[in-house]
Amino acid sequence: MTLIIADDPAAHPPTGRRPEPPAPVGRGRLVLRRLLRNKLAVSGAVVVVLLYLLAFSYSWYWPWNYTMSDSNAYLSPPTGTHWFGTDKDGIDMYAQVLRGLQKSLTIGLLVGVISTSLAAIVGSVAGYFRGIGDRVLMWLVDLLLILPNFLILSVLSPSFRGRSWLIFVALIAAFSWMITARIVRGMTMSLREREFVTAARLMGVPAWKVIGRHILPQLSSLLIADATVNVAVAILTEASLSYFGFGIQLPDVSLGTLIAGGTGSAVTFPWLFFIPAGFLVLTVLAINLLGDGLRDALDANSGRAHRHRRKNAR
Amino acid sequence: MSAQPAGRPATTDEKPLLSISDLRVSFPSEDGEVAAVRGLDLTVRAGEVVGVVGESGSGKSVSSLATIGLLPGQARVSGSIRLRDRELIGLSDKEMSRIRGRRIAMVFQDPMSALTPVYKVGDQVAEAVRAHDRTIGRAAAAKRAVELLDLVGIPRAADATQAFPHEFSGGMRQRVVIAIAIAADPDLILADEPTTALDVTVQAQVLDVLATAREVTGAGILLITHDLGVVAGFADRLVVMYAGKAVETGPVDRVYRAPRMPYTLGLLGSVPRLDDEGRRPLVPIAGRPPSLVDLPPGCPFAPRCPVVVDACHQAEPELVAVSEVESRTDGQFAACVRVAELSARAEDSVVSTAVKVFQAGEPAAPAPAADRPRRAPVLEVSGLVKHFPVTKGAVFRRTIGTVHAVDGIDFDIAEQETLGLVGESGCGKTTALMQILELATPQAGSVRLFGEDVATADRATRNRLRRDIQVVFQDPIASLDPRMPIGDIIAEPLRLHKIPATRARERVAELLDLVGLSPEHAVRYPGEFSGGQRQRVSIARALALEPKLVVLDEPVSALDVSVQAGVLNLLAELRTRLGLSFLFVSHDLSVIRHVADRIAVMYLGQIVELGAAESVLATATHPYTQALLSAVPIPDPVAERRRERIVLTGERPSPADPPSGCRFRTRCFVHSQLSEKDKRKCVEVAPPLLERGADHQAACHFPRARRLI
Amino acid sequence: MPRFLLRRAINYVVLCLIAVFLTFTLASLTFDPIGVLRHRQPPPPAATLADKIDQLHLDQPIPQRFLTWLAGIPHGNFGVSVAGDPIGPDVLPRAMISLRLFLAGTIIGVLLAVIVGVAGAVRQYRFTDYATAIGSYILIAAPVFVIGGLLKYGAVQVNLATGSDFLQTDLEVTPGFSGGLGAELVDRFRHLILPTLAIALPMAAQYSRYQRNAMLDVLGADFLRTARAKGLRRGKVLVRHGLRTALIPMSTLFAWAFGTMLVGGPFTEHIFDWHGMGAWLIDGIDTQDANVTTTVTLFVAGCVLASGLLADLAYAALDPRVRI
Repeated sequence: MTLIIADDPAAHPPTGRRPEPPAPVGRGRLVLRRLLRNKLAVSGAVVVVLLYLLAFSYSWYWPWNYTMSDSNAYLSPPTGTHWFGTDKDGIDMYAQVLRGLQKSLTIGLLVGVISTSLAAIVGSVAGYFRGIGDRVLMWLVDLLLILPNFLILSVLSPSFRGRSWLIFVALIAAFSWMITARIVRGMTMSLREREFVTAARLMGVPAWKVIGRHILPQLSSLLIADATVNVAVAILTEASLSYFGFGIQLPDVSLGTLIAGGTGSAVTFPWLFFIPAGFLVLTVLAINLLGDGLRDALDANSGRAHRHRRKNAR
Repeated sequence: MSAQPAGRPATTDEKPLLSISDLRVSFPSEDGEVAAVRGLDLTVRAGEVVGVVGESGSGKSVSSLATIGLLPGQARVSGSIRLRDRELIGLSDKEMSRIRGRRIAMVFQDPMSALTPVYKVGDQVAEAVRAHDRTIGRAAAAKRAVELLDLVGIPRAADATQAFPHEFSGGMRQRVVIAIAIAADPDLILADEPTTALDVTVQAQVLDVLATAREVTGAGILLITHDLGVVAGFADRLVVMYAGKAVETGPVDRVYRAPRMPYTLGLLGSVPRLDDEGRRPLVPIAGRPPSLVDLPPGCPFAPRCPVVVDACHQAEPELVAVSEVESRTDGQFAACVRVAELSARAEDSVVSTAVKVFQAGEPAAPAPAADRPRRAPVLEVSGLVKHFPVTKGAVFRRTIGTVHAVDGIDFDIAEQETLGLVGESGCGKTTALMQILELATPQAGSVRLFGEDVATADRATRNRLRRDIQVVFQDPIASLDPRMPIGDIIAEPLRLHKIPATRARERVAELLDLVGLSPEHAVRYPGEFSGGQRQRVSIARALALEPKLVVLDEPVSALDVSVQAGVLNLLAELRTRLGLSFLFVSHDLSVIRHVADRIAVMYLGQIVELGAAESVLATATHPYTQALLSAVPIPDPVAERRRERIVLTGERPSPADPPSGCRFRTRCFVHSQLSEKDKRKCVEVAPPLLERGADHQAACHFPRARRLI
Repeated sequence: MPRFLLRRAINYVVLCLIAVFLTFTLASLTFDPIGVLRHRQPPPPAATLADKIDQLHLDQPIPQRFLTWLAGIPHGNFGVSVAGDPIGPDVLPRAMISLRLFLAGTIIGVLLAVIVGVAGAVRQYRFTDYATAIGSYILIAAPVFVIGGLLKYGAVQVNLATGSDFLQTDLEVTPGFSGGLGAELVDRFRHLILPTLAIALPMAAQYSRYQRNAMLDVLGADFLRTARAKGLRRGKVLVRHGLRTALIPMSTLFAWAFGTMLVGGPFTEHIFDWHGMGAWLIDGIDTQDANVTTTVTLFVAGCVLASGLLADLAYAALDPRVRI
């Protein structure tokens, strides 16, 4: 016993497959939308762009450069001629700070790109193949983590003194990929167990293609966010080494050397310390805000917000 | 503890224990305000079990969280939730805390994460005991915890209090959660999908515990589930939810016998049932539930409804009594503009009506059993073994034993045949399947594909074999690369086998068409599709290279029932059309019943029963198969109450330490009644898989065929 | 369990030895202490140089020098410095100075991190959360030498304003200080304040972000709902069930934090003119002294590995799932 329809169902034929609801917004757009709503991240991004513009354009309009001495103004506080004042040799601080900023930003960017690429390759290979290769690579990571980078860099610094600062970049990069590599390895190991990777593997797709086509693209957003944070770390590392005289050498300047020069006179000639220190903090702060904002926007897409939504949907 | 008699008949004029009226809950989201619950009315009386059924996203869990006041902070709640005479909406956290546990208790879906991992279970139960009565001392609370754990059927309860949650299986943890729920003798228990994460045999045990809990506390139970079978056997009344509203309510018997809302009818028709007569088409409900953001006016089910009329789009129908004599609390109500047009006729079953109304197609013919010996085998597995080392500890990792995941299994699949491999979680079915798919030399035994032994095959042969065996995985979300358009996903196997790009494009279009998607969809990403559609993409990918054998690993268990029906129908159709063989792995016997020609039942790494589907289901011979069959709930309240129930006792032993002799003996209801001498045989001798009929083998020393459906 | 602990410890010791060997080799290859001597005015006589070479074993191959150095360690002999003084007697006092500073800094930093992180998570997207976030970001962006500089600047201003000299900006103890034990403790405490803050503040900033995330993860956990469904109040649930569980992943981080703090040690010690291990390292590099730099590396590596072991133990102690 049951129900039947009083009139003929054929009079109202089932509508069959209906057009799907409009496609949801693409992932990239969603991430961007989330990022844009994060005011801190947006201001971070704006500040980073402005700092780059400032650092690389000052020589077009500024009469002084970072080696010229103004014999009329030793230890001059900020004035109309010397916006950021001068140091004890009468060298213009505005030129020096922006030159230092240039160096910091360039080194940071290069190190960020190099170390993140290295981390992506090592991490995904170790995580995907496991076994002996993984153990060796992870052991290497452990070793490099124990060897304090500051120590090795400073021990090595005498031998590259006077040579290109690019060696310096390579060294910093060589000591800053390990933690990201570990994260990439962990994520690769879990991705490896995901069914779409298993499906590709069972289809007979060669391992390097699986890594390149299915694994690294999943991590791309993480890697971008991580590269951003690595830029900030690299800038700090460079500044610290330079502060102790193991990095950029005079007459070239970096924010680290400028701060080192100004620390002793922070009380007496505050502009020598506070201006370069302020720029350093501002730069790193802006990059970190951007990087964390990126990470949140991406993470929210896959992790927390998702879980949240799933819970709510029930 | 109150000593109310169990299941006492509730009188109609009694004041309800819980009455929810016009409950609305919404959440802010990326796309706008999500109206998760849109005006729900519901009552529960003392001692009554009310089942709430609906697909994912229908708002059933949100309603229960609103009742216990545990919705996340950004939720907006309006309407009224009254417990006896107390209005719950608007109470402060402090006031609500006095009600939670003491008056309303809750059992959550996922027992694996419902207990704090760092505290002993005894302490967690004792905490619930003391939460509302500080006069109970710690020692007394600990003693009470032991009693409660004993009550919910945890063996050696006194020792068990000292265990940490991770030392318990899912079923045991759910018992602990139930013990916590009844610790303060609540008036109302909210059970949110309490058995969904559990195996069927464990589900049967946990439902029994829940029934005990009701007897002991006399509480009303609000049972939320997507499983129509569970409700049929357990609930007194039923509420069907769709898009955040109740669309049909009434006593279970009446609703199951004569649903008045087309959605309910569709749901009942879409579930594969163990008690179906022969194979019947499953009723797929086209489309998917509406987005709950900016819902258009009219009936939310209208876009999927086979009997939609213009009036459906005008205004959303309210729940109305299906006849003039319905009692306010006990009657049947449905929200459909055509409710008055629906009348009952005696001779048709619900299922056949659903088939008619939803115009489900004819079922695919099964492979004829008679000529089986003449068809060539596509897959022959013999003596297959897969053992893993067991490692322990996240920090101090080390090997402590061997998991006997697959321990010598034999079966074969002939051309155009579907073998259903059934077993509960941890029985080794997925391991066996991966072992076959890897095309690697097995640890022991052999795998022959299309007559070729994979152990001795060279690279070229293996490559050729890979084309002919393809796989569809369980999780339609995880099995597609989210960063690839589905056209590329389907083309990947084609590219791998060097099919020219233009031909591959054509083939992708053909395949999309074949699985019922549109070729224009090729440029979209998996995230834009629903679960059922993604599973169709997976199937298209598996078929790209025109394989002969498709391995399906739980292909529908992650899908809602209405969608599951469509995918199962598609698989059946493809099989006949393309002459495929399937190895269909599932934990769900009712699904297997609908697709398989032959069935293999696995327990702890071994096949315990194997044979023609009809024979295995009709005359189940191994006690484990019998228990499985008996535990699968049937969505028919009358039949469900009449059935013979076999509830297994105890826990599945660990595959790292399987029992000697017959592996099932520790939970076997036949074994426990044997004489000492016979028992010894079970302990000492592993029963071989022996012929028990035409194409029917079982591995039991004391077989006794039983008819359970 | 002891066996696994032992295996892990052995692995660490091997790593440690390799790290030390690498540093020794690198330092020996790049340093040129004789070159420094030779450039002195007036140039020292050849015999002095030869003596120095002999004293520092510079005529031997590097692996042999390393083995000689290593063999002395069990006897408390860490070789001689370039100046010719034995290194051994300096190791313990300097280690105590560094450990005192970094233990105090780490403990205060961890406590602050937990408080700030939990506050941020519980008050997510409210004023407390934003304020602590911005404060943390600024502190994270500032290198220790900037924070150190600012602290010193601030201390001078405070001392000026209060007309006292309570806050000491350099050295671990006032030179030539004499007085009773109590007075000496007070003096040491006055010197300890600024460098401890220089360590604790950035650390609290950084780890409070992690603690906030760990806490947020736990806040969404099902077991918190179970606990609240029992009828426990929100605050109680947050502490007893939430924080307790969120501390599990953090314990590992905190233990490692101690190790990583030491790696940054040279900066802090140098800035506040403390004669600990870190400052010694910088001196060693300045004087091109392989023995001193390697000794400090051994100390740092040992501490990093000890904190790694501590991390494992803390994890096992807090999480019954990994207990044996």
